[in-house]
Amino acid sequence: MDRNYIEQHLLVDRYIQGRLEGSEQDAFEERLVWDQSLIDDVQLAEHLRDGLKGVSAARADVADSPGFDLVATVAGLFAVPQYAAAASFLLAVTLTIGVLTSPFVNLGGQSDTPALQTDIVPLFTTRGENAVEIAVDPGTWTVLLVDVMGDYPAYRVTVRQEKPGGELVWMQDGLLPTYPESLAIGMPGSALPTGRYVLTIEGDLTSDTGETIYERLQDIPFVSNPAD
Amino acid sequence: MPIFRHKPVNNFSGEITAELATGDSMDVEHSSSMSLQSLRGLGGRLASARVIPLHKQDPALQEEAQIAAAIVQGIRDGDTGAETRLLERYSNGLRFLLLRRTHDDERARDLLQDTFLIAITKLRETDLEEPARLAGYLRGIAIRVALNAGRRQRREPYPMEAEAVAQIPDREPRQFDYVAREQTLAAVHKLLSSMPMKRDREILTRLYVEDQDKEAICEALGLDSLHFNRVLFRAKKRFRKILEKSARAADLAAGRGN
Repeated sequence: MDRNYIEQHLLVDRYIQGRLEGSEQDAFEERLVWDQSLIDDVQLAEHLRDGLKGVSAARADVADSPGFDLVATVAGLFAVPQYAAAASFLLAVTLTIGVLTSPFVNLGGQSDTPALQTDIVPLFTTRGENAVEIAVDPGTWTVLLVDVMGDYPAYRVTVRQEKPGGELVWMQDGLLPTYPESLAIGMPGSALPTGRYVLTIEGDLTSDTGETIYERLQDIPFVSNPAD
Repeated sequence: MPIFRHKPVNNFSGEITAELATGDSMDVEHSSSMSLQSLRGLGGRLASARVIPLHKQDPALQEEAQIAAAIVQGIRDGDTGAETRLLERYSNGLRFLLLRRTHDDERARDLLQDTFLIAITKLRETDLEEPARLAGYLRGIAIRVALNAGRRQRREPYPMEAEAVAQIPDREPRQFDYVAREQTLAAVHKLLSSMPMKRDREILTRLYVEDQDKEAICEALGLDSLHFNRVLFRAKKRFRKILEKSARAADLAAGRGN
């Protein structure tokens, strides 16, 4: 079986889906017997399929979590007009993907397992010396919603203490702009003890060769206060 | 004006391949367009034929045919070196196929040994009808062996010594053998992050998560076939790079590479 034919007719994908039949399957497997690169392609497609299913299952698990109070969370979002329209979408996609399945670095030594109770906090850019004040419960998971500029395939967010040489307390890359100009950044509340912080958003300029370059877009200062 | 010879070839798609005999100086594009134009003028008999220039045919296929024929002839001539080459060339692929059917590495190894015992016995004693398709012949034996094992039939004793297949080489480790699930998830996430178009991400989800076929996806998303293939090709290419990088890092960490 010709390699061009295999690629044009997506035989690798149809094979792992179990959709090949008759002479097509016979010829495909005949080539598998001697062509190691074709075996590699099959294994690669299986990794891709398994990974996508894993990400999809993670979304479903969170949405079905008993402690995930969807109604309360949506109600909380509706209190912020500019996010009201995006609430359901953010909950279904951004929150679950961005918070739970992103490869992130937790420099604060916190657990990677998110708390089931989640606070969603809009974080607005402010002018001058003012910083947005947010209430953070160290026992819950906090999601910061921010506006972003530009059209980047993905974003990286870092949070530092706002002081010279301030400690990096959180970093998360691969964030998707799943709603126009909005990002959801999830982190445990315990990573934000009372204090002043700066959240930095950078655009991911990953090239076709896989090299990742980050472009700094904006800094958003904020103050973390204990929740009542 | 080029001269055409028409040679029907079963290439598993029902197409007719026209073999093009051209002068040495004719360039590729010219020869392709000329051949199509000329075929269409042959009284309609080949009006629907698609011209596949020979220069684009897969050279690996021809190489495999030559190697296979040499191995078959060598075994028939009593060359034990040919038997060793048979094991070396086909054991990885046959083991892969058997593993997909048995989901048991040990069992696949046993069945692989049975497959080679049968194959070498037959190849020593009889002429293969199509030596170039040795791989297909071996696959057929492997499938029958797996089926028989699945039915728990008693095996017939083979009229040859098992030492002939005792030297089945260990499977060579491949680049994705040690990719952990976490690495796969991280690679998928990075891939999705690099795809700005929601529709392109949805193609992957529909194909791999929801097991939809290409036609259904194209119809649902209003895509043409070429766009679908392009998105999938690029996604896989990107995913391969990400995973290779991740696998290399894991190998280094585990002391498997240098």
